[in-house]
Amino acid sequence: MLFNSFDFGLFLPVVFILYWLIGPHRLKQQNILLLCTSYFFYGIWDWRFLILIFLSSIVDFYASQKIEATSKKAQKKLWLYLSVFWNLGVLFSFKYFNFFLDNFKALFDISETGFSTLNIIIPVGLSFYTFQTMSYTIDVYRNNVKPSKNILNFLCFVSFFPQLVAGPIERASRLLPQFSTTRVFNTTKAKDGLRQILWGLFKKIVVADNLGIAVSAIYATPEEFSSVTIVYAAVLFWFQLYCDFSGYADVAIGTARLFGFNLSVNFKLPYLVSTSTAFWRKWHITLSKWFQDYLFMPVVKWARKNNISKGNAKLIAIFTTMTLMGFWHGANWTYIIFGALHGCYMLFEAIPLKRKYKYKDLHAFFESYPIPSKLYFIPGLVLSVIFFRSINVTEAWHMVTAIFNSTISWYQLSTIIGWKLGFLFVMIALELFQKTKLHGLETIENLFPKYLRWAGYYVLIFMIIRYGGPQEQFIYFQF
Amino acid sequence: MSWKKFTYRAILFLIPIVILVIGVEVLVRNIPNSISVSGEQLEEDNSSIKFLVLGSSQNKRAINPEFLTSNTLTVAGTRQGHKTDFYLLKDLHKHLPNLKRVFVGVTARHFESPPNGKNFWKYRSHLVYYNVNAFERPVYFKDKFIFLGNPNFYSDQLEDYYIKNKKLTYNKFGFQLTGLNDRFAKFHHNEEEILKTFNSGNYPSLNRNFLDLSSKWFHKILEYCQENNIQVSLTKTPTFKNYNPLLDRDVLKRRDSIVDAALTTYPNIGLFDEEENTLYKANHFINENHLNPKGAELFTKRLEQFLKESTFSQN
Repeated sequence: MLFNSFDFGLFLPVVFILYWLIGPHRLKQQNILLLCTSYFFYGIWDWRFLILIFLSSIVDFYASQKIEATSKKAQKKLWLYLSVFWNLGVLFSFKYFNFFLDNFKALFDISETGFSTLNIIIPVGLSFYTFQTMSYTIDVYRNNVKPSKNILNFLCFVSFFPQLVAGPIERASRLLPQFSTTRVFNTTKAKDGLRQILWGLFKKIVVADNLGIAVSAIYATPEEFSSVTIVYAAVLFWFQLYCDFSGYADVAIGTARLFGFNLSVNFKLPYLVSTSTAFWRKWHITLSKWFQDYLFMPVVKWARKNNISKGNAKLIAIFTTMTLMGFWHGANWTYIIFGALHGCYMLFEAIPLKRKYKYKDLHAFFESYPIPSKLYFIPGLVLSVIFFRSINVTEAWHMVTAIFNSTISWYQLSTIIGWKLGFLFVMIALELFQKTKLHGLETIENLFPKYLRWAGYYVLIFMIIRYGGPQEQFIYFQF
Repeated sequence: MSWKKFTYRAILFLIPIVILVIGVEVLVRNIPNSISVSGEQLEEDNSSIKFLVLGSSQNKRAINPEFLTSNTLTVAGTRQGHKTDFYLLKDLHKHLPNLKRVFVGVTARHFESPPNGKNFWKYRSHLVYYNVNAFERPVYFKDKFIFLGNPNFYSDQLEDYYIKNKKLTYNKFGFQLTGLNDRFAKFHHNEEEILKTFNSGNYPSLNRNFLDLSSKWFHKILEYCQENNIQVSLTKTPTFKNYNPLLDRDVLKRRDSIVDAALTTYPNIGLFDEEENTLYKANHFINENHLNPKGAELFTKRLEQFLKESTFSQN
């Protein structure tokens, strides 16, 4: 079920009313309702996806119980490996098997008949919930969290519908305890939750989807456009991606707040940053944190164990983490290159500076001089985004070369999207105005009287209805 | 504030929006369009309809039933693929007891354009006006709201119709006569000017991967017609002289091989090929591959003649 659908517009109020009718004193019944509705929400795509999510939940639940139950390190490790093997195995089978097979066949020039690719669909949000459950077992193994004794709460933690299909990727230490704590209805939180949902829908339907029309038009026939237009398309696509994904996160967080839950912040104005290092601290924050904790740190540790110097260990870890983070997005060389490019930028930013300068590395220097550093980072970001958006490396390369080979003219810019680009500026202005807040409408209650606020909400709803095209899936669902 | 009071206030807040959406739906349904006019024709004349026009915008713009002697219903539509055509044929046939012939578009782009998805927004209009369920799933309550299928598109229509007073005219068969996006008219049908501005980017890109899927549904149409003793006329609609040469020749070859195979496989098929007929001049087109009403008149009259002369009867 899509957040921007009529179905969700009916689903949410029904679940909300049932949930609070049950009341905060019947926690178990509330959780049963959340589990059933989450499975319904997910099963609407394809009921077979439910089998997989249920199995993944059970495997991680029992693996963590066994880890806790045994005192022997080897046995703990065995259960951890079993869980990781299951999770990565599922991810590999559904998402990466065909990619590896195709590349293997291409590399060794094996005929088509030798091996055949699997004809399967990738379950929606697979990478998100797999990473969430995997982090739980690892945290139990590391003694960072106590394993849940309550299977109902654990199933809810894995499948909680607001964040199930596109995050934020929650840690057990943060989300799991919320299922065992009484949730009391909080009007302020619920009102702000609704405002955040409205803000998310505006970003997705009015801004992202309208930018998407222009981006698709340019990407469909890049040879028809000038170099400036191609760069412009890449920049627009980056904003489309941001509005699409952060819009989803806003709806997810706002929805969770209606039920008394707090989800993690996933974006903090990433378009203001000047370096790749800072970018990944503000873009898809929960994924970056996941990779930092479960890949970057272990790689550094492993490298240090193998007598690699601290500096080199960090460099190896940065590049590996970023490349795999790119690969997490999808089984395609374009995503690998996207990640690897950011890895390169980060390696560049990690170059240490001599003691006579007051900055310890280039990143610190760039952070202090945001305008010149944007001259370095924005072209780099545009280049990476071209790979992210392209279907394959050939198309991406074609786009990159077209930037240098095409004519330079400006006339096509306005004809492609026109005045609708103004929505993007409105969104940015509101977000900058609310810079330190959770979302673009957060402080509206303190600033305006009720009738003006309601008028503002009606205007936003009008724009959502007026400018909403045929329902578009959120880009990050495919990951 | 309790959650009940909060819910009550939220409902109060939403009431004007619900009223607005219902009001807009009523206004949208008041705007005539080719589907609604054809829907009326279907309701009034279903027993006398003998011909059915399927296909994409090329067929929609090329066949004006006014110039055919048999009563004809047009359900061709912009970017309508063979899959949608099949569902329209199958469901409409139940209401067309005297259906004898179907026109199926086989334009160059038809087989390699993306097929209509499961939730194609025009399916709502098909449901409301033709009572056809092309969703490949049960019909839901929301499917009956035409406006919500594509609010952006219908908002523009509302603005044009009620505010700008731009009212399009259709004949009684749903064939659009005015308000066409006539690109060639802007050049006063001057061929030299038109040739200078040809831009393949004006057309959505093709993808060979869709070929198998499209041809599967194409064959389903032909098989259905054979089983139900319905004659089929495949139509290659005219293109302006610069269009086909600039199109990838392989696209044309692949299309032609499917059409040729169909012509030899099924006994009840004929091909009306006007694709590269030089009879059609710039003043017959609105753009490279769509005819204007004048062009449609010529095409339909020639089609009528073709049917009279063809080996299988016109009934």
